[in-house]
Amino acid sequence: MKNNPFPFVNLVPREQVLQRQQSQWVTRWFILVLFTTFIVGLPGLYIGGSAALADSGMSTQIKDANIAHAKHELEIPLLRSRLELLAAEQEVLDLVENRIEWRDVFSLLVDSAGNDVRFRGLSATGGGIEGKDEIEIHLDGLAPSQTIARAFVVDLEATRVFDSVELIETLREQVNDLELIRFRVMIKVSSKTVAQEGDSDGN
Amino acid sequence: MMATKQLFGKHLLKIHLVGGLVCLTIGGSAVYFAGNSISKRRGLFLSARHELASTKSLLNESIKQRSSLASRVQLYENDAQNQLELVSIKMLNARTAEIVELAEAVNIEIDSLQPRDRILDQRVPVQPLDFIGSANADEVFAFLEQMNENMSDIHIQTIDLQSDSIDSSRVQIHMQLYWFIDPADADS
Repeated sequence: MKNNPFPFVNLVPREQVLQRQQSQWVTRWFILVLFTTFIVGLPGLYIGGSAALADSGMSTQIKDANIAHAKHELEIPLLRSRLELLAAEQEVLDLVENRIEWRDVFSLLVDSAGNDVRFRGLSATGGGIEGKDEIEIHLDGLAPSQTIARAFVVDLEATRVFDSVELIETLREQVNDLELIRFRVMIKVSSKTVAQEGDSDGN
Repeated sequence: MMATKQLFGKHLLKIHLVGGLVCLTIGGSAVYFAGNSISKRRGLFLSARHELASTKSLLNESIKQRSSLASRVQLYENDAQNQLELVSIKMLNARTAEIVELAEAVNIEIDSLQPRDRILDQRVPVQPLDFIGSANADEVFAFLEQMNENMSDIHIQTIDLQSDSIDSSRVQIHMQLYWFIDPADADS
């Protein structure tokens, strides 16, 4: 260039040069804007949109868990009341099993009485609803003699089933043409004793 | 100098400003939108994860409670299978009819079989029944045996036997029976 003896002269008018420069820069910026849109704008839009619309599946899991929980919460009171009812029934059944075998008790009385002793009356009270109360048996009997009456009481004691056998009173009494001994006996037995007796019979 | 002058010439400044602003707006908006969305999503995710964890904990608790209750119910039901079936108080008439039938089958003459006030304030509900009749002593024994075998949910609470005379084996019977009713219908 330095050796060129004829310097270049720009003959293009200055307005034209400026317009050309403006046009070039507008094009460059347009390309840069497009480039920014494609490189930054669209990926950002995509990432943001995806994040906004993404569903981790947790809402479904929460919904399912809530439905299952609500179902169980409905079932629990029903199960609880069913359990209470069954427990109450079981309690009744436990008490039902704890019964006094009156037939066995009376058989024992009759066996001890033999042929000479006759009963005029027998009154017995059982162990209550829970079977815990003491059992009382009142016997009103007739025997030909004091000896036989007392032997009956001794025989009852010897069975070891009853907790106490008490001869309350003896009276001489005329029955038809016979002179007999009327006696009253009170027998006490704890329901526990009867239950044990029943168990040993069962075994 | 010339290039800088050319680049930042007055007539080009507006173009650079507009172009740069548009680029920055597009880039900034994209970054802001993505960042904001990710941040919001992360917040929602964390809150959902917390909610899911607490819901699952409640669910596990209710499952544990339910299965515990269910297994206890199952145990009771299995136990009850081989046991006596309790009769509802609603069957009172049928039950008294059965007792009468049983007594008459062993030749007991029944004067009265009367239900009394139900006992509900004790550990278990009970329906007392007053039984009055007469029979031979052997028949009373047979009745007690039959009751024991066929109606084990009925206990004899009191029994009073009085002989009519020394020559007769006939006795007057007065019994109070305790019928252990099904607690499910005890209040009806």
